[in-house]
Amino acid sequence: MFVLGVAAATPDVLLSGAQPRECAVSGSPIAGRSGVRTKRVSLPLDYIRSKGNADFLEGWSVATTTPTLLGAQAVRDVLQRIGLSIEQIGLVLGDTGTPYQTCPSEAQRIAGEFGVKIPAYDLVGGIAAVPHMFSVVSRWSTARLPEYLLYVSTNTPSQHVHYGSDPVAAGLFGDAAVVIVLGKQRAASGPSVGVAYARLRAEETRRTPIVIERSARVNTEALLSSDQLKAFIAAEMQRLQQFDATLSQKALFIAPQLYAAEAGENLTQYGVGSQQIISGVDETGFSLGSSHGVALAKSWNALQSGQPVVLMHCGDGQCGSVVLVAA
Amino acid sequence: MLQILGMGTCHPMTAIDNYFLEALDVGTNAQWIEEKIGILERVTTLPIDYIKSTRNQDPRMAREVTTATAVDLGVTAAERALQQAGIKASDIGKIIVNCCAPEQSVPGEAVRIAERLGIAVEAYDVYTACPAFALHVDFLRNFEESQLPEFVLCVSTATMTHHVNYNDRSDGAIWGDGAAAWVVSARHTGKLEIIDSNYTADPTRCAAVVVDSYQFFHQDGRAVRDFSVRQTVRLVKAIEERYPIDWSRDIFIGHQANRTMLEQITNNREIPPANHWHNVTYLGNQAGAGAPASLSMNWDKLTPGQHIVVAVVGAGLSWGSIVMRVRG
Repeated sequence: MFVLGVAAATPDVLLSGAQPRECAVSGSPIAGRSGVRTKRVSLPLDYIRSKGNADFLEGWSVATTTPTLLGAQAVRDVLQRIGLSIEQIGLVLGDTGTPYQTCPSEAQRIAGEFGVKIPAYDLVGGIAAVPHMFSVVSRWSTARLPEYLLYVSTNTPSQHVHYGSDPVAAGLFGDAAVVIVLGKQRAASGPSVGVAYARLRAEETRRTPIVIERSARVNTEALLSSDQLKAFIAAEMQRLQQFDATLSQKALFIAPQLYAAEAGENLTQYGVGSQQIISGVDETGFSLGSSHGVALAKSWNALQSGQPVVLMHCGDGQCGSVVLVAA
Repeated sequence: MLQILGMGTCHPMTAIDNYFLEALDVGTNAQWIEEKIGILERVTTLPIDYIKSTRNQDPRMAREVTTATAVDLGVTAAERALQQAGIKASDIGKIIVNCCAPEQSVPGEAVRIAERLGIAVEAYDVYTACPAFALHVDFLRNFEESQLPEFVLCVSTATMTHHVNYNDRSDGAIWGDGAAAWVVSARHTGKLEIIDSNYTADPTRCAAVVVDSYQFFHQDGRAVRDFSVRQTVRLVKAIEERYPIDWSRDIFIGHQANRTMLEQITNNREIPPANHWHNVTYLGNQAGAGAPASLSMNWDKLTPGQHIVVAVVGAGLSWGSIVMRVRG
């Protein structure tokens, strides 16, 4: 199975650390651990300033986009880039943690934007969505795979943030959609990336660091401690070294995105250069399961032949890594 | 070949009969409901007084007053499925869940059900609403069998009455709450062998059935009803052409949308009433739980050599089928 294309879409509104001044957006330790500097959000700044998004349903009524539209935007982008038409796609898998509707599925809503009859359903992976998808689909029988599969993870958690009263969430969340096109065969032209290794495993302790109900919350008690994160990185690097001892020298690393900056610092202790570490949250904010994909999209065009990309995840009840190798 | 080792269901005890709906005075009556959709009762996790006094006009309140959540129902159904399969929760290696009405979108229902069962395993939602039984089976058949754990737990659960506007004369009559669970294995022998499955969708019609996350269910009733009958008939015909189906022996289970619709299908395919298993008459439409619950509730009637034909349709619009054979 090959990754033929990746694209991310984010809303236009940029929320910096100091914006909006009236909102309590500073002093979020998890924003520091993740390395979030700016957030892309889908609520107008004036609305955030004046209302703080105290009622998320009001937020939905003024939002600049929806998870479905953001996902569809990324789909158009990736298909155009790799020269495929939507009619060539044999299956759409969707993921969202912020659905406007619980029925139909997000995959069906996004496919509906393109007016095509196509199998579509949701494979929901929470904050592990992208590595989770690789871990699932890489275990499928090739005979059951369509020629082309479209995976969309799209999240607008900013629309659930109480900007006036929750500085932790306000400092962390941003919105993004990511689309990954998978194929049975490598692309005739342009980059293709093979899935060399993809395994998530259950953690002994199930944690729910992020909760999206009406509001988007960080469950600070369920966050990994720095020691726990360090222990995960150590164990995972040991596993990865057994798979390929040269990964730390040549691979790009996409760390667990909720702790992207801190995990990145840990990775440097294993010989990984800071330029090898790609963040999907620093400019966009933490967009739940889309964050790994945002980082993958950032690194996509710079990938060199034979270069691996490692996606790492931990801390929500499952952990592990995915290794992609540019063909 | 995948096999189903055990199944379980859970339904709330509070029944809403047609006379209750008639008393809401929203332009319907018990006779009309029975004639139109063939449902006599449906079950709900909402207190009956709450429905009577508020008509559930703010669905967000439903979550505050509910007597059970979709997770509660799913956990009980799962425990019953495990018991019937003769295994412990700790034997399960993967949980997949379908839920049309989750309380939280992160973490997913599967994660919360795994947590309640006390097991640290791979748990995630695989979701399409009503055709969940077919999707889950077809989804698991995608895997190399060596890549599946010994036992997989599938759950479809929903508290759809939380999204019903009881001022609407149709919607209140349709929906019930419920959960079904089933244990699947590629390595252990079960009562049901899965011979075939399929699942697909037509997202161009995804607006035909909608559940707003914090508001109401709404649908294009006539279009959905026509689609449901036509598509189910097509699914059953296709199975009849490929497998030696004998309706004097084999069993049909459809999407439990309403009984008159199911009767149109069975009349078309000349399926005798005794070979048509359904539960919609007294439980209502339980979304993705209805069809597997029908099978589960008739588990003891399964006869060796019998084919079980499941054809399900729903939001998306999406549809799928399963052909199973009862082991001797």
